[in-house]
Amino acid sequence: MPNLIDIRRRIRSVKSTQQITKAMKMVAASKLRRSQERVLAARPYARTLGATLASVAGRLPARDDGAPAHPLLAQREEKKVILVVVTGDKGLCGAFNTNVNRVAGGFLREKRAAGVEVSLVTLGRKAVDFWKRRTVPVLDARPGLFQRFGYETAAEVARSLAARFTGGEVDAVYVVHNEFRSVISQVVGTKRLLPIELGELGAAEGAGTDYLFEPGPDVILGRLLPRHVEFQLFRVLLESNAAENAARMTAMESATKNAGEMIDSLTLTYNRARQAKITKELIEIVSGAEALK
Amino acid sequence: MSAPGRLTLTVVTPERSVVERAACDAVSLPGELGELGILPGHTPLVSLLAVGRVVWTDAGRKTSVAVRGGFAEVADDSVRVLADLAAEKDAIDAAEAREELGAGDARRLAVVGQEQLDAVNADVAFAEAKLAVAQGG
Repeated sequence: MPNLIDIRRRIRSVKSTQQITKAMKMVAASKLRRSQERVLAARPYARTLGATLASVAGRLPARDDGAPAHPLLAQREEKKVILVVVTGDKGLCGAFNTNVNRVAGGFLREKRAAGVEVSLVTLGRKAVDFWKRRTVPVLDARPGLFQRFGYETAAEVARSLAARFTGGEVDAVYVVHNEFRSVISQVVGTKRLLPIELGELGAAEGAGTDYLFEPGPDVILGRLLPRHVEFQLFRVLLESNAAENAARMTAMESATKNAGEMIDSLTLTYNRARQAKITKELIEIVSGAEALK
Repeated sequence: MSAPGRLTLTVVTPERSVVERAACDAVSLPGELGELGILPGHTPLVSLLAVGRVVWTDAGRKTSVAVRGGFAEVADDSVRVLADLAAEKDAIDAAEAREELGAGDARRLAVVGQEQLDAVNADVAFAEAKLAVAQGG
């Protein structure tokens, strides 16, 4: 028969775990709200930037030699690429971090099979820790990036990526991160950050407007494109952050539920054991009394 | 689309939206090639911005925000300013801005190269613009 005191101790411990997971869920929920607001706040900027870029790009005269209008648009054959791996800084959020690292691993194998050299830039402590023990060269690692990040953080990373790209050190830059679909669904996605594909932007609204440019369109494009790269990366960080909080909230919610179920089943066992003990004692008393007759 | 004869002004940064669809009669932008005055009916325009103040007039009342870099787009009587950094009156600590302004000279002495000098100059200009916003509205 299970020991009553042991079961009681077990219940108490599960209960305190439940309290912790519940608190973590609430924290994640409030952080999620804040990070969602940041994603929303970035949207007007994204819309205007995209529209302007598309219209500027549409107005650029085609060059005779077929060279791209800006170094960031240069399409080259992929020989060396950078993969930016974006995870969170902390665990306890389900498969959030593992998924990113797994997809990154798949990407690596695929590119290597095609004879492409891949190096990494890891953002977020979980990616940093995962990849530093492996054989892939890591160009830049930023643990603790998400504790406090703003546009400047993203811009700085983006600028160093752009410099490597324009310097010819790498031929493309990809990002793998969690996309925030909804509170219960985060999808890992890989997308190309560099070179910039202007065709993707062409469909945006406002592409048809005939603007006056001050200074000329090429100067404006030269300023807009780096800004575009920085902003893309900033959005990736915002989304990943929102997705992380959502994943943590879901994970903690199910942990709280599991703890509740465990408490229920333990309480049942406890009551049964207590009842059994009482019954046994009664039988002992009764049979003892019988024997005295 | 705004009402005829009026402009709509939006100022956003990557982090937040500072001015949202403010109706006004005229907007003045710190264009990189000089001050730009925008009135209703202006031709579509894209301009890079310098550090300075975006000032708009609504029924004779002037309001401004300090912006640092970025660009502005004018189309269909709507003015959209995409600034790298922006500060409206409520977000500015005048004392802090004054301090930033004062620190500029000391920082200029320590700079190496044109790039750093440009950065310090931009910081100083932004502090100046913030002060102007804080004091003048």
